[in-house]
Amino acid sequence: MHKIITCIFLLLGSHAHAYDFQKIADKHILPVYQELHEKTSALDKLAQQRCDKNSLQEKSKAAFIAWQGAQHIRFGPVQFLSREHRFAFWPDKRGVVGKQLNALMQDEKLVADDFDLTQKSVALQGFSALERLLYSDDDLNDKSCILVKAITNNLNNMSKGIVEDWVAGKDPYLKYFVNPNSKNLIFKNEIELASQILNSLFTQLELVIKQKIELPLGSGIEKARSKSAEAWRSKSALQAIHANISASHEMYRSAFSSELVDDPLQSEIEVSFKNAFSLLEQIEMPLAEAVKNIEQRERVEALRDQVSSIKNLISRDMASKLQLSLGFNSLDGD
Amino acid sequence: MQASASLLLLGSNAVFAYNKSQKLLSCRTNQEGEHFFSMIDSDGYLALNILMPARGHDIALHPHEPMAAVFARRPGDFVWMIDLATKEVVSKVYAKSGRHYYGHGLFTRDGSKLLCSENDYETGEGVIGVYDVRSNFVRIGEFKSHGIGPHDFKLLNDDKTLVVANGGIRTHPDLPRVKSNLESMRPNLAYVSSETGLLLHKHEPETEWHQLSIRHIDVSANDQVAIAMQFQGKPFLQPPLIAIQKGEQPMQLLTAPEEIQSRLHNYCGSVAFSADGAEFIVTSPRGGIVTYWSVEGSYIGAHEQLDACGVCRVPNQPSMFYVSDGRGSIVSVNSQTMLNNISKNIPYELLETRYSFDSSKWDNHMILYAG
Repeated sequence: MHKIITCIFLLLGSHAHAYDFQKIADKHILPVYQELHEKTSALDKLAQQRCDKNSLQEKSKAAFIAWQGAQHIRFGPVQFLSREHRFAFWPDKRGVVGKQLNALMQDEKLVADDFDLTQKSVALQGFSALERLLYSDDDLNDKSCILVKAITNNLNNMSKGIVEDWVAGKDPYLKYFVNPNSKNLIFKNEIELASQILNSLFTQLELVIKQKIELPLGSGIEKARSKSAEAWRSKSALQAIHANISASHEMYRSAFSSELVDDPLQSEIEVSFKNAFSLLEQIEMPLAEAVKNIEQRERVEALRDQVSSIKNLISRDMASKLQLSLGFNSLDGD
Repeated sequence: MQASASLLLLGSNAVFAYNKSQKLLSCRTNQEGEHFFSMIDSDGYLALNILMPARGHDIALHPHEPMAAVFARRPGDFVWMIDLATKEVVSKVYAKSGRHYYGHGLFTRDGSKLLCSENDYETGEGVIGVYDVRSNFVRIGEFKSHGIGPHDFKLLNDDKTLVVANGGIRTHPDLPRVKSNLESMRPNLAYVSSETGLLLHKHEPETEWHQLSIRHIDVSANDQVAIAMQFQGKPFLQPPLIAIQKGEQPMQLLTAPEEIQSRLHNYCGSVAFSADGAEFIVTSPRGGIVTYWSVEGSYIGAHEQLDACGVCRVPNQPSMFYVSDGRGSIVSVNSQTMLNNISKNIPYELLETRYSFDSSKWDNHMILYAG
């Protein structure tokens, strides 16, 4: 074991930052949530009019993908009222969604006038439960329709709530987001807010790698776990990953890309995103099947490696260049 | 596995601890995402690294034996017993079915029992699990924590009364990090008899601040309790986050000067009294700031340290503390020095004694072991 005794010269302020948070909100964050609200609103409208499995599948999938395109924003109003956990319950390693659904279907409270889904388990409140209902072999009946309508209504209310909490009312989150300063109650300076965005991006990429890709891949082709693919019933896993990466790319572009002008890192990051998209296109079957197919599985593994490389470029190279740091204890909540 | 032991000494003081027998214990995560229980010896070397299956949280020391209990992070399902002399894992205790750990626990003063804060997750009721140290940690009983989400707890001077931080937040292992009752939560500080399991008295923050989760506490030699809380409400509200409480007296909520209070980001990570009980310090990792308080509840000052969380006092050094962070640093600070300082807000670069460990994200809690 060797011991190095060194002096540290602190690197302070050698990088000139010009983050434009107003632009990040206007061009990226708010449009993402407006899209989510539009899609959940269309889904809810249809569900209230016509509770039919086949006609609801398409709008449900569109809303689900819109949520996937918003999942990388892991701060702000999406965290109010535990919304982020109520949109979807996944991964569901113990089959909680199924258990809760079965129990609720037997529960007389479901048909009572005062049934309130928001007081029920988060596993029942969002896309995961909805997918099970819309992609099951059974047709929707009166009882399951009550739940379908309650879920779409809940999804729509949450999306609307997020948009409102960002922009409306006495204390819109946007007010704090666009102007970090020492008097700001949430963000004291630009670095703090930029680090928040970086942490959010990092966490999402990590989640794509560890949960969305590696869980179904398993440790080998015989150990592949098809049913660990997200939204395997509607065969939406790859579309979800595409939406995640694409949204992360947009967030990176709107927040950080302009900080890297004239830096080779900028094109490196662009190339690695591009490669990830082209790898995604090369996977020719749903993820649940691809992980069990020798040839396709290799492409899934290549995709995993590519997303890892994006993650490393952003969380190591870019973070150190911009003097941002990933939190550890500060991300915790313990 | 060999963790990097490079130690960057700053300032003039090359001695890590004031006493050669003193060592620091903490869990940490390296750059590769591996989790360890580690011991730093008095020369500043990582003298012990035990690979763990998941992130650890707090550590408890046996009163007579060279043994540490390392608790898995919430909602964890294991406690590992480490023999600090042989540096081996001597026992692995697993949560009973239907229960998970909250990351904290302690040994009774006679060393015969280990107590762990646990969640009965189907009912959501908090319990303190009791384990027999001499029978390989078999679980021999439990009693109620008298609240939801028991987290940190400490033993009072009488060796039998527990002070329990019931965080008020209900969790379920199926939703590992999801807090499912934020609307209705009602945290409390409960005084519980470890002999009968009965509630002696309890203290709650005022109703207005029912979303103030009481997570971490420390108790001084004369049973004064210092409380570090986390606020679960909207981020632009600014409740007090630190409190003191003693005996049956009401909880006294403390607020730092406005410019400091707003930097705590509604989140305190850990708290420790000084060895003489005259001061305590509280870490706020999200705000990157560590605040100093007198036992009477007055604000003393702060130092800046990004991602700072672990904090411990140093026995026989009345006002000395170590503070660790998620960026690999451990600093030693002195609350008396802060009292005497003209400037009450010390930037990190001006802290006198800073040690840096490569590839070590020091986890939430750190304790000092004099063995």
